[in-house]
Amino acid sequence: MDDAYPTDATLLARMAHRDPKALDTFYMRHARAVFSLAMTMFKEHTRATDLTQEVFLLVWQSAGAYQPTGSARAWLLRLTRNRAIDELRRDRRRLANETVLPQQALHALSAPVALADAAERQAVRDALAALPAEQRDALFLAFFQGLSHQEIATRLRTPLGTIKARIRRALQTLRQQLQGEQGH
Amino acid sequence: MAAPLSCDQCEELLPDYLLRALEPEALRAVTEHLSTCERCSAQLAAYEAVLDQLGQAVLQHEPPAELRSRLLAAAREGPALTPTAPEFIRLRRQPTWRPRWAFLLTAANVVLCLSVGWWTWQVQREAALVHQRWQDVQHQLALQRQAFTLITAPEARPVVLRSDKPDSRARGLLLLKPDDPHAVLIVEDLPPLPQDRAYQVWLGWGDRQRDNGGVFRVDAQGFGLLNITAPQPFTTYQRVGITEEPASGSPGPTSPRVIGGTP
Repeated sequence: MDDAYPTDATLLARMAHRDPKALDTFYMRHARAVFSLAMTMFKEHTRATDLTQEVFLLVWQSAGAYQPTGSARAWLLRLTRNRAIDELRRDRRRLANETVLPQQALHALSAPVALADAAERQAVRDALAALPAEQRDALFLAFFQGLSHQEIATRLRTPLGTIKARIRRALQTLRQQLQGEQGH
Repeated sequence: MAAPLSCDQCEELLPDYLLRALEPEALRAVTEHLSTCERCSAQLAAYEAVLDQLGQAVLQHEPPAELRSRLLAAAREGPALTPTAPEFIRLRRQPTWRPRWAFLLTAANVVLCLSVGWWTWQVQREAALVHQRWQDVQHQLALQRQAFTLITAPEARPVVLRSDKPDSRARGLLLLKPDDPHAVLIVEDLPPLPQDRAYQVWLGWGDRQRDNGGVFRVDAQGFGLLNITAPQPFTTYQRVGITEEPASGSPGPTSPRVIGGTP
């Protein structure tokens, strides 16, 4: 079993011993998720490709330091998200050229083809759909476009304190909804 | 120094903390509070789980097919292997002398002895290269373990290092414990340097006082790690800067700052 379908922890341990086959298997298992999140955040194929490679190379270089506290995929996506946010925030030209609206970002999450095969994704979609639109917009701009709260306030022409409160309330609501789902 | 946060104040800041939207002062206060508060740490984990689910629910895209081979090629050329691997491969592929039957016996013996001697020398050299590579890998792993230990230490504080040039992608992260002289520096996208040059870390305070934080090099991708043991605890330092210097280091900076930040 372990040989036929090694766990992520096994693959990471093998990567720490510089086994490229382990990296290959790990990549095949998680590349789609990493690339999809990068595409959602960058909306550019080349940048998403570069970030995906960067994330897997970082894993390859630091596999020995990984100590599992949750799922490896969640860890990978956190790594992807944080690096994408940092890069987006550094990209000052983005503010001048940005045309994507929160509603378009929402489409990236709510497209049925993305969600039909996973109950968990369906739960996320339902929970997001139930959020007030202004909370959802603020959360999307922060999460998927890496905008700072001040940038969101400027973009939406809304006071900074209101934006902070909307994001906080959105996360609190999602947490209640999703953890409620998991509890059943 | 920021005033300690109450649990209510900390919980209010957790979403911003997770979305990397806190100012340095608030970030420090939340990090300090989380280091001692199990309740808020549990809240943080719960919010993090929500963001994890958001990240996994996006529209799925297939990565380009060539990325797989590109990644594996880049991994094989990784930092620990690059300096010695090409030579290692070349040595293994050297053609071996094969005496022909028509040679005189004496000449054949001489050639055979030379071949055996050459082969022995090659094996010893290969063994030395493998040993060196093993030591490099162990050193890198030790650094990465220290980095991970610091990343997960509740009292650890990140200091972001950036370039003054707007078009530069060079950046770094210094992970430190304020009352401790130990820190780990992680840098990315710094230009690789020739063999006789290296990057040097400077830890400054007061008007123009500074300590040497150590010398390091980056790999072909511009990635580097350095374990720093500063002469004084990091509470002393007000500035961190990295400059390009001779490979053996310099008593003071001799070139403009590549990246820098404020602890």
